[in-house]
Amino acid sequence: MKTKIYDFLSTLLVFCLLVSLVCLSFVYMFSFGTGDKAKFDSDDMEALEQNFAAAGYMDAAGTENIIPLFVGVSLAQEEKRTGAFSGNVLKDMYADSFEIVWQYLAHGTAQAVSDMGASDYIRMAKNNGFIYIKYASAYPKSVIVSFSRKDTFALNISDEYIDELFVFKNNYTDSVCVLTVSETGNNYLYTGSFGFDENFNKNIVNEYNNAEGTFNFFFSSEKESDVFISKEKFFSAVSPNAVILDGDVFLDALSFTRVSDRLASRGSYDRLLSLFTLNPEKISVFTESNGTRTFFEEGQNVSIAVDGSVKYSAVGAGGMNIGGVIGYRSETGEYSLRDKIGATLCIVKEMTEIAYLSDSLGARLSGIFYDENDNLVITYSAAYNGVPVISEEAFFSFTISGNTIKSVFCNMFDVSPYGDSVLPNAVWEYISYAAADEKSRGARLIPAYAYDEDAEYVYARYYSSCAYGEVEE
Amino acid sequence: MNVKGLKSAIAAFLLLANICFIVLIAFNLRNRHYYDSDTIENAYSAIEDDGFGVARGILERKQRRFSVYKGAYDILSCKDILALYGTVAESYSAGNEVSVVCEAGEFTFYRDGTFEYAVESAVELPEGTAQLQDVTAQRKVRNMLKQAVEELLKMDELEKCDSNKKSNADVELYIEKISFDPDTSAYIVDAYQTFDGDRVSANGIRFVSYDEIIVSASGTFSFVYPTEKIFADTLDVINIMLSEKKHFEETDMKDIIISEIAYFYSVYDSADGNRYFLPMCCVLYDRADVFGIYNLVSGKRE
Repeated sequence: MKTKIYDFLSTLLVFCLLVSLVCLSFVYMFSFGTGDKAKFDSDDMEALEQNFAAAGYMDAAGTENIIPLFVGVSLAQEEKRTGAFSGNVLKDMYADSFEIVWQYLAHGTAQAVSDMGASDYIRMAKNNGFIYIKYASAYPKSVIVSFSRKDTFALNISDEYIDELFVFKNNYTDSVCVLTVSETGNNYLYTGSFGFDENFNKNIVNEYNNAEGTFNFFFSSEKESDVFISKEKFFSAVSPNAVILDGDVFLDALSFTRVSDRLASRGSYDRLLSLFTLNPEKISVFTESNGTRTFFEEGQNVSIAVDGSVKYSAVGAGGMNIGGVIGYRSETGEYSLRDKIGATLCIVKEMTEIAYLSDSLGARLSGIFYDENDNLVITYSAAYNGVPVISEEAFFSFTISGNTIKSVFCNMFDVSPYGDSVLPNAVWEYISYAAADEKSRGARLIPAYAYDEDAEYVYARYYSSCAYGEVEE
Repeated sequence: MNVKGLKSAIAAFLLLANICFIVLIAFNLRNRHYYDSDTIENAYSAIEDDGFGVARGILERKQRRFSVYKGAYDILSCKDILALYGTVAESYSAGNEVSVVCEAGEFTFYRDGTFEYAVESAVELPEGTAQLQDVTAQRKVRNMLKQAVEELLKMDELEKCDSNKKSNADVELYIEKISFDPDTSAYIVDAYQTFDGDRVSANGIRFVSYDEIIVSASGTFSFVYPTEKIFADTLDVINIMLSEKKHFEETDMKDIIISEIAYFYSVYDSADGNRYFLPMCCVLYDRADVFGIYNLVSGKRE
């Protein structure tokens, strides 16, 4: 009996030691383990730091800075069609439409399309039903996507310029796609599987059809039979994608006021000087005979004219570093186009707060181009509830050399609405425009206000829009 | 050799193998957390000179493993959390704060993660700290106030609300210090939030209590819990010391000793709508006015 117990216990001991050895060998192997392999490293941190800084300018930036001139949706064969060009309905319609668009722009596959190919696709879109978005100027795709949907900021989106776009069902592939068009001829077709079918815009059409602030519309290319002048003359003067609003369009009348008195206080001066990185303790002040006060400090100066216009300029190595404005110092010292636009928006936001501008008056990105000295010029124009306000000088204008803002010009004004008035009939405006021989080719007419500080009231009228947001009467 | 002898031999061999593995594992685990003595001596001798010293015990231990916590950050958009603390009042200011009114008082939440709470009735708050008594060790007071602050912050319900259900972090409130003001009979509670035991934010929260009722609170508290935990590649303690020495050499300070390293998390809000909690450390000196803060992931001195 004793022997059996001994045998059993010794066998049990060997078994336990064996199991223990196996367990310990596993523990030993895993004690070197790779289970806690680092996933968040210094590269991630650098990206996050850039994103963290951007969170500041993304608070200043938004859809209002790139709000389109027009958003239109249509079912196939013009069965139902509605569009908006101003007010909250424009913002809402754009936001709903962009829920579809962004997926193609951010995650779709891009294919270059010739002008002729683009015309073919646009004809297809007008026939099959579409979402149409016309921006005030050509904007980089990264700006359009991240300003319209801030949660896309971290995506690496390229900078193709987009003037207008169509979302439509492509007959060749039987799938929904997005065609982006630029006045410079860089057209792209974005495709991808995002779960949309031929009813992609049906909900938007139904939601906004007959909603307050929306209008039926048609493109000039669809109105050949009603043109009272020769087709050749009409279509040489008017863009085939020019939107013609149908029905009576009412818009507020406006009066304009300068903001000079709002900038005259000591507090406003201090905020302005601080914004432009001038040290109040080191500045020299010079007052010109016309009343313009200029503040100097180490190669930079800020001039505040009696009419309220503000000018900042820097010479030599001076100027405001983009990183300093957006709060992020890049390791390489280089900043993206979006960062540069973000920096200008931080300044625009602060300036409009100093001048207490009305909420209904916004600054819309109106131009991004390089001047003859290879400096980047970024301009903003004023918009009242999304309707452009035309002025001789840009609302805001920035000149950027490399990664430094060298000059800023602000020509701010404020508006007060007074009742409303009806816009002239759009068809007749187009016909009379086309009938005048001296006008430019491929024009579009857009409702806009012409800034006039002397007029008691200014009514909205149709003005022709050229490429890149420059609007001329 | 008979079966009995064979069993004994196998048992002895297995026992020896087990002991070997235990020693190897212990050695391996120690190496993971501590430097060997030669490395420590070399590090101390390389860092300490010209009046710059490091207290013993700091360099011996290798850097702890930290995580980066990630999650949605905008409490202004988490209506379920706001509703937990009262009726959502339309009192937005510049889009960066929101106030909710509850039965006893009003909470104001800020987008940067800070908050304030105050009861409606005017209460005289203690002034100064000179006469405050440290009563942190009194278990009864500690339990009573811990319960009061957890009820105010609704810790249990907060964990269960929809916005926080997906969180995988163990979120707690740690009472750091309790002071008593004999003039006003008020208790001042200094506390901080922890994720998996690690301190969140260097600032913490201060509560003021009268008669077991919290009358005021302010500080940093993440009401929206993180939903993702990412292992972080962090800077080593020796590298922090070398960096701090380099910084010291650029100043004209003399005879200064690093006395402690404190760890906490700092908040980074990303433009894509996520809030990140990044591990940081504060290098403390034997002089209270000198300190250095490092981001443990980037290695930068802030």
